[in-house]
Amino acid sequence: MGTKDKKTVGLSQVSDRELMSYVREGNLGAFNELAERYKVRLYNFIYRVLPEREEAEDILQETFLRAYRERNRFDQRFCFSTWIYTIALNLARSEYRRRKRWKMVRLGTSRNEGELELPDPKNHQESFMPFIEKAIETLPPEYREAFILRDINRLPYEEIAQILSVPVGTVKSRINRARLLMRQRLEPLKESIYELSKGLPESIGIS
Amino acid sequence: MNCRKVYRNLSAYHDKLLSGEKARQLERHLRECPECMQKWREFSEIVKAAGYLEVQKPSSNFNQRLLEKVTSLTLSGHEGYEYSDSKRWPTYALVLAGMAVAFVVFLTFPHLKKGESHSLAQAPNQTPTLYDELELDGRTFTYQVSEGNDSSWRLFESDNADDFGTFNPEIFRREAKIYRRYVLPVVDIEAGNSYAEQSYLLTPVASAGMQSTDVVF
Repeated sequence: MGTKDKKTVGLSQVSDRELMSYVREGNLGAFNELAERYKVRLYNFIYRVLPEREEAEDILQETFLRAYRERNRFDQRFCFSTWIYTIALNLARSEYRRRKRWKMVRLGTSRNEGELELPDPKNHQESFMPFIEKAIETLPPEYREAFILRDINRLPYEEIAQILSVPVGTVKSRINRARLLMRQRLEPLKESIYELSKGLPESIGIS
Repeated sequence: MNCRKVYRNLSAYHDKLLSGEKARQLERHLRECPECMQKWREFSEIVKAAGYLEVQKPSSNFNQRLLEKVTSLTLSGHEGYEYSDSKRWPTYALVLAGMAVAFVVFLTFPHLKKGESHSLAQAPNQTPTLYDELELDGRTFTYQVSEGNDSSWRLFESDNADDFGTFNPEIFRREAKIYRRYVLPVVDIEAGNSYAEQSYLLTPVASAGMQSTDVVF
């Protein structure tokens, strides 16, 4: 088998870019390693950016399938992370645009429905989190995307700008606007906010 | 720096993107303006908390299902298939589209209605529902041709009954013979997650039966 030599190298030690060059040769082991590296962070991004969470895993699978099908179009000079996030974003966007089109006739519950209980003052961290989730859901899509990429996935501004195909300045203003909207929407619970992250170190995001 | 300007720069300040001088001006304002200070505290707490939202995980067999899907796409030769909204079209739209395609085909290939077999799709055939053995790369495989449909094969590895699924080999014509070609995934069990692919050419299949399995690499 042509790829035998590469198997002796632990794939976990290999860079994304190098793995992609193996994938281009048809090495599914390398593809599996990339899926392993990116599935959780992409899933969290898709899961929160979509209005309907049950679709998230399908979109995640489609993201990787598309990456595989278009493996020869991947430009080795670019960052794999940016490329795969862009694929996920485009698929998620077409999904929520499609949802929007059909919203009028769609029956069943969406995750935006249902009441939340007020945060328990004894357990702020746990009981406050659903409010944060809900506030993210209510952000307009372009702010929601920027907020998730920055504050949940912890990507640098430059990479977010490439993923969203907008200038860095636009990313900065979208992130600022999104955070201000979050604060505004959570303002009624401000007493809880101060208790929220007591004792938590700075998050380093999902990896 | 006034309140509005502070508001505009809160993210930049939070992410340490402001110049030293601008950051000092903003801090000075925060010390003097309790309202902005309160907003800043809420703002930074929310940003921090967002980083602690529960990490969501896809199903534990996600990779396995993904690889099966990639393998079946590769085997069926449908790698070029593009995801699109069309797969979610309402049924009536698909029916209408199908009728339109059928009409165009009818116009383009009028001989089809006379039952003449000039097209590749109508070429050869063999006996369906046939199990046969095939040796490739030192390994023996069993393949089964689906009944009544010679374009679909199911492939097993004979020794361990590993099922490679159903796939459609590419059928093409060369020098007046009809060939089948398919890409077989070779799974390296020991390496666990390492795969390789090998393209096999079977020739020719125009004759009756599936015995003709000369492998050309």
